[in-house]
Amino acid sequence: MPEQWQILRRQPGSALFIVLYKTIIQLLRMLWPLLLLWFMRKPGNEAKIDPWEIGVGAISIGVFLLSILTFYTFRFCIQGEDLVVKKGVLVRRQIIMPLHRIQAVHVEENWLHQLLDLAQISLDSPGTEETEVRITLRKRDAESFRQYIVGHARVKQASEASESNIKPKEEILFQLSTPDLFKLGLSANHLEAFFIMLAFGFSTLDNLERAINVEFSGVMRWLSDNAASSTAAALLFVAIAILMLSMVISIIRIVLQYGRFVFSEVDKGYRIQSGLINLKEKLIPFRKVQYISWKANWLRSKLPIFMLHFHVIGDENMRRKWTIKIPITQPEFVDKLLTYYHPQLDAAAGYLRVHPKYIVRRVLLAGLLPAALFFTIGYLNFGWMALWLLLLPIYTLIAAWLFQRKFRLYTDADALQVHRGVFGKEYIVLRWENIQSVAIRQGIYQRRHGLATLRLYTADKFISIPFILVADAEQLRDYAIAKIESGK
Amino acid sequence: MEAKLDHYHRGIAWLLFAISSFFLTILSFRYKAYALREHDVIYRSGWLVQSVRVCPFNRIQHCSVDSGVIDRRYGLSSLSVYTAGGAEADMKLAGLPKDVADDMRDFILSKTNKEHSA
Repeated sequence: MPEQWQILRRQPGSALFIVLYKTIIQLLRMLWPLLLLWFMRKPGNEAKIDPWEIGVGAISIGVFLLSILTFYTFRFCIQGEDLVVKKGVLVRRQIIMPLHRIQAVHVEENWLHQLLDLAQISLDSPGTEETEVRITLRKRDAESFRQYIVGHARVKQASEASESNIKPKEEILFQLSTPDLFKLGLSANHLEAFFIMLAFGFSTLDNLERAINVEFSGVMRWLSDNAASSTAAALLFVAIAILMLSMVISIIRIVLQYGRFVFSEVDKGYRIQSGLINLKEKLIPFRKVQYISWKANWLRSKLPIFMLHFHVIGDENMRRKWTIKIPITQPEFVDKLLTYYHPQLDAAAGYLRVHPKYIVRRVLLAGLLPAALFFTIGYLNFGWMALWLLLLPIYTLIAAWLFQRKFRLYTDADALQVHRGVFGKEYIVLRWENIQSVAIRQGIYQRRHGLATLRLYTADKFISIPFILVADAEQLRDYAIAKIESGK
Repeated sequence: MEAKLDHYHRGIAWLLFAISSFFLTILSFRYKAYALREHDVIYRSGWLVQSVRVCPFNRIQHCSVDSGVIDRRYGLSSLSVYTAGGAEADMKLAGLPKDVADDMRDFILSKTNKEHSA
């Protein structure tokens, strides 16, 4: 192993460009309404400088200086078993991250990194005070640094499980072909993309409105007034146009995220590389996997394409970070990816189902109750148009019926498997020992009918087994608890 | 005028919220119970939705005892138990006498240390 990491060092000088770039983006994000105002200020007033202009300018310069100073004070090295990071301008901080506590190492390259021949490494260690450290390095240094850390973490764990089969260093399991990528894009949930677009559009509009004091809601009112008088054909045209646009956007999103997708097996883990412009990389050690799930929306379940997710510790807390799902275009890949965790359970064996009372409860509480509530409010405001709200209980009836019909819980000595879904399909495989805690929950309706909901909490999310008999729930809980408490 | 009415409505909403949460606390209080068992902690809570949660000692990462201003006035503490992963406490036993909470924390820690090293 190279000794270069033992000496306290800064990040390479070219990484300063990245820092500056990030600072500019950050400033722009905060100040763009002000900038807009500044560009649109009344002509003739250019010569006069407002005090707020000086203030904003001074703050911007201060932010720049601070980020440059932060960059120069950031130093790191490896001392023995720990990664040591020293940083801070006004308050000096020293972070010590034990190498064996590091849960995950990510390598990321956006377009600027690629231009400067750099890569950003981020290290996660949920157990320590500072959960994340990011270091920018030259590309080849990043590779050797990553290997050093991963190798080190491995040596520490080798004593726990010394496996004799020595794997080749890296084996590509599959890549995504262009037709696959296209299929993935076409089958994405366009409705979701549509709503994201809508939300984004409205929030941008709102910001603009505040910044330049123009009322866009007037435009909207004009639009809606005219929509009422226009023909159905025009409405249909608008609907199709919006759908097409959201399709294009979701396809672009998928291509950007899953372009250059490579999934490979490395020593004791999987490596995922993905991203057309911003290439990202993620390493998932086998032993960090808490449970595995794979799901498909209605369209994808027909193709079939599944999105498989390795759930690792604290994934949910790192939402804003990169939690990639693996697109599976051939069903037999699922079994291949389960080999290091637990194979799928025998589908011919007995299983547990959700009690049909689930449908009644669901329609009452999530369908009829809100519909009645909104109907009274809606009727006062819109008259009989509020009758459309009656579609809600019908929808909940269909959804609850489908859910109750599709739900299956298979169990065996080591693991459990859940099949669920409303319109699409989802599968979950969870080993009993990956459960962290268990709860049995009962609402009033459930208590009356001797039913209960079992919640299995893992280090990622919890898995819910709704509306089963109390006796079954207690039996499952006791088995899970016994399994956890007898294990290591 | 309109603004005044709005304030009035908001006041009523808050009052209703406060009253209902007060009664909910009282109603759920009777059902609340906990026990330290040989290998785990068990906690029963809730009113509309009742829940019984079990946390095995060998899954507990750490636990903490906190007491707020009002808690301190009455010599109370709350014990939070954390397992791996989640940022929130898996179990929060509120309103324990200070010494009971401290004893429970020490007991759980001694248990978790033993279970982890075993």
